[in-house]
Amino acid sequence: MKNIKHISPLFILILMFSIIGFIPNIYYLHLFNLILIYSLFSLGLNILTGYTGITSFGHAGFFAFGAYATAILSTRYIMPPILSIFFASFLTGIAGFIIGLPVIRISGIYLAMVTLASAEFIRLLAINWESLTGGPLGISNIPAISILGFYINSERSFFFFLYPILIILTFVFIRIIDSRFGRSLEAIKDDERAAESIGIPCAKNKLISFFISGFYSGLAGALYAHFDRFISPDTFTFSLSILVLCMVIIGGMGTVPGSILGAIIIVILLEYLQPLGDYRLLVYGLLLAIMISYYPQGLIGILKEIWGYFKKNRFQRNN
Amino acid sequence: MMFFEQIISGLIIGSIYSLLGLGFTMIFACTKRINFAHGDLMALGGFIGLVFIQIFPSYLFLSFIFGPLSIGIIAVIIERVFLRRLQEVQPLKIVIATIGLSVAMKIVMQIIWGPDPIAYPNLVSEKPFFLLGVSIIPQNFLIFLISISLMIILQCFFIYTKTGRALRALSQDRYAARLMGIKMGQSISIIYFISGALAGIAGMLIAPIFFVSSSMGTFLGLKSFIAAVIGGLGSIPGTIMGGLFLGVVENLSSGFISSNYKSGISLLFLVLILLFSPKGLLSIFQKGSLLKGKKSKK
Repeated sequence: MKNIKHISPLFILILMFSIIGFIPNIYYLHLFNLILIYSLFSLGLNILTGYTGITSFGHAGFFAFGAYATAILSTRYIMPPILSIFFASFLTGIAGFIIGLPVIRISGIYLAMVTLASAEFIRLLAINWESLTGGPLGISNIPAISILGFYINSERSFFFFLYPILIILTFVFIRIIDSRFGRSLEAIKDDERAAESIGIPCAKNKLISFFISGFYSGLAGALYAHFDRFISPDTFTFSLSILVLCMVIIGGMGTVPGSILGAIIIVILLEYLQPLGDYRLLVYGLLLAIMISYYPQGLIGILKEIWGYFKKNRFQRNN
Repeated sequence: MMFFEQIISGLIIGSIYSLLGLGFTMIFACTKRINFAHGDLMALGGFIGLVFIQIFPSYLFLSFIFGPLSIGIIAVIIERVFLRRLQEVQPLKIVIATIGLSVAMKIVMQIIWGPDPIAYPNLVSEKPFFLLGVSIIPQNFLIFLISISLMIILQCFFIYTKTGRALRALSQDRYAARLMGIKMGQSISIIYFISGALAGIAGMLIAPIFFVSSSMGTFLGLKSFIAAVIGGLGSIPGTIMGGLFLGVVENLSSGFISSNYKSGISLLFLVLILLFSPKGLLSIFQKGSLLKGKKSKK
């Protein structure tokens, strides 16, 4: 109960942000919904890249897996969307576990290549397995989510559906990171041999983090499928993997607020650079290269530095 | 006959894979880093080669000298500005930085030369000739010839010249090489220059077949990276074999199985190789009892 004084301002903050759901402009609500979905997605990548130190270039594959799983379950097998979203994210977690199995033997760039390869496989399957996935045309008419007969089909209701999910899953994420398991992940990132020598089961913990990452990314994908109600292989290309990597790195690797901040910035850039068309990828590419070579701690790191600078000044003034 | 034609066209595309894969391999051997912008350097090589061909229409060989040279210089500049300061940090960060650069370069090329593929002038005549009953287009033969001779020249450079020996020393042990008076920064620049120049040549060679487009670098770069990993990242003969092997396997599979899964098959090979022999195909043969027996006799 000693954390209670930290929790109450946070609780007020959460309530304050839910006011966003009442803004009249539907277009802004749409952006906020995208931000919520991408926040989940970048949290999913962050546990791998930021905490365990495994870079994935194929997270679009997990996103696609979740989206296709829920779309197929709810259109072909008439499963209620709430159940199918849950099943889809669980299945994606298992897929992440299987894709992560090579972690026992390989690491670093080779593992990153395996994730890239798996994402490409999933995309090729989505294009070529026409009887199941609808081929290049994709799946349309994905049913809207319904809870107790109440259909979530407008932007506003979607916001109020997504917002609690993100809050709960962020808290779950923080609990995972603060646990013994989460600290063992950071030990693995810092020095794998040292972690192994103090008795941390490295391969097992990496596989579990692959599962969690798959679960979060798959959930984001499944929610996206019911949000857009149409999916096609064109959505889940390599540039989506780059985009989510951008979010994690620009926000700050290994921080929870960083993932959410990254999602906010990337989605807003994505919208406001719309007139540039495909050229906006130039902005992302350069941002990625500059951030990683000059500010590897990300925006959260920069903010912390500024905060520390002000604190120091106040300290000097007082003396 | 179709079988042989598939193998020959596989060897031709495979020689491009190995020419590009050599860039990955050399940079990995000397700096333990991977430059993902390499494929886009190749596309840029195609475009800049085109510019030089338009400047010197009657002296093709001049454009074959100036084009690769300028790509080499661009590679050195990229290394100096973005990658050098990342030399000592996590290897994956440099990969992320180069992926960002690759995306940015692709878009810059798209802005300058447009998104559509541009046709390339044929360097030699188009009339096919027959070798052992298989028709071969001279352009393809030229690709194979030039890339194989370049690889031989490169291998000679690494074995016989003083700079080449210094670079090999650097790849074996950086700190020991430094103690022997080898300049790290300069050597890394040389490596980036050579790999950039090779990418430029590869771009100019492949352009008459595929046309030049800003997006050609992505998939060719990825394939050649896979080729380098299959052969063994860091070993030059391994990369050459890996490139030729991947080209042949890919062509055979698209000819006899299905062309839909063409890139899937090369990725499957990548995963299998990484799982069962992460040091590449050549290491399987090196582990064999035959070679070991010879070594022990000496």
